[in-house]
Amino acid sequence: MEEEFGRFVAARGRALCRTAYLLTGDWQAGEDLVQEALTKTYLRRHRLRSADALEPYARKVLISLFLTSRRRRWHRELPVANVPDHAANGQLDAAEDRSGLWPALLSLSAQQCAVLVLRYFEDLTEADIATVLVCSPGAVKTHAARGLERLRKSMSLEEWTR
Amino acid sequence: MNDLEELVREELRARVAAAEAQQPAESAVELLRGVEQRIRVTRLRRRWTGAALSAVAVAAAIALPLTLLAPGPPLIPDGGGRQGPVPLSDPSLTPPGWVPVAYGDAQVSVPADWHVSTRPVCGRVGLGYVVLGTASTSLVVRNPRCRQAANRAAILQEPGIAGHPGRSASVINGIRVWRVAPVPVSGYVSYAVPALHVLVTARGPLARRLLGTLTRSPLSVVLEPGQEAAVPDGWLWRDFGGIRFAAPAGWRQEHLVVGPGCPVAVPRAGVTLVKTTTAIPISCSSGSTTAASALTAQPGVVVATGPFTQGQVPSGSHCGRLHELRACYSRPIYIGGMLDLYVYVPGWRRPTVVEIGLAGNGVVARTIFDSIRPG
Repeated sequence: MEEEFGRFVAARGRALCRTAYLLTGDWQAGEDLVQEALTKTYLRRHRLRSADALEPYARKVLISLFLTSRRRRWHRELPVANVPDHAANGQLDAAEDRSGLWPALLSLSAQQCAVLVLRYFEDLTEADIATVLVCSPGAVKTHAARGLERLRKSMSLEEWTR
Repeated sequence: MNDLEELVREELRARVAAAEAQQPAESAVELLRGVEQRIRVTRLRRRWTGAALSAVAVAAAIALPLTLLAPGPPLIPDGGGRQGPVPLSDPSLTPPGWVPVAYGDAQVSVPADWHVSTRPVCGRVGLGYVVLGTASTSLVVRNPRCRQAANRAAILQEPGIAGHPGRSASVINGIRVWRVAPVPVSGYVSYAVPALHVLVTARGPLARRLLGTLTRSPLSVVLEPGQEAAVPDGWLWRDFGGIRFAAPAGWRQEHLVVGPGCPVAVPRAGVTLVKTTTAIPISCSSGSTTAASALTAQPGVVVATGPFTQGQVPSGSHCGRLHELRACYSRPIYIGGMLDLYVYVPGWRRPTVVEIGLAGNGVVARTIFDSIRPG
């Protein structure tokens, strides 16, 4: 199982970091969250039926840790590299053009943010998201709808969506 | 899917792509190393040593295979003929009620109820904390709701640090330091310490007193090039795991066969000889303390051998020759409490793992380290 776990981290750790980054808005904070999730996953790996269950379990722990951290207001500022003085790349420039969508995403409630990330980045179904969040598919729909509504309002995007 | 949903999808992917482009390629290794450290902390919290010998198992699966045949250059350089004594850590600088916190080559002392962290801590306003990190670690907290302790400190490793000509230089406990302002937060008193490859910084009412406890770490004493430490008369030589090593005669010796459970305590002034005849479990439930007092090093040594000791050293380890044996050591990153040494005995499939407690002035640990030879 140790070797399987190592292979799992090597293969999927980066993907988990991407998701965590979108939840936290900070790569280092995301990595921190992923490390915590992977540690918990590793310590409980014997309870999992197979290696295939590692990723769903790790993702579930990741989301749980994220929700818990937001609930407790446990915002520990993360170490970051020196503030870069070089220009961002073109992808970031393009993202900046989306007029504040990123800050608006980060300002959503933890559940709304998690649902949108799992739905639009991880491409999970509502049923899968419900499993991760330990809630009903109906609650997932509600979180998604309210999250999008908040984005729409915060960005004044009504005209874009009609 | 409407336009907003598509916009969200594009935004998420673009943000990830942009952020990922800024990250180093070896991020997966760093991630694994971080997991390994957390498992190590968990083990220390539970204070069991047998498991400590296998926690690095997480890293084993992707650790690069090592060439184990040739011992290679000396593990610790001989100092280019240097004959002077090795500078020591000074435990007398630790006031009563305080505990030493070592990181890399440096050590400061903090009140025992402080916390140790890798980043600034919010919400524990009554207690101080010390951050252990690298030069890129930011002590800036942007969250306006974050309430921090009045007393904070940090040891930030900066391997490439050099002298700071033009800045004000002074000496703390015999160590030359330069007053700098590397931390963009008001109130911190910061010093560059090129000899120890760190920046130390502190703020709050205890800042000056804390900085006054600066000394080199026991780890730096062990790894300092120079004359080999002589084994004092009265020390006992022990043969175990294909190696021979010396330890103080007064240390109690304990034999353990590691099995399921979490039974082994870190030996204080002791020698624990472990046979890993079954898989070492590391699934003990974790505690929650990061108190500096709980992470204090113990003066002891653990030697483990058997089919379930760690087979490969963590990536980033330093390898070389130690008395005709090939050996690798892994510098502790988060906790300076012990030095992990992997000794490859010719003909043995797995390395013998030696964990040396880094306590006191470092002489005992250095002597144990230098005494290791073929059994």
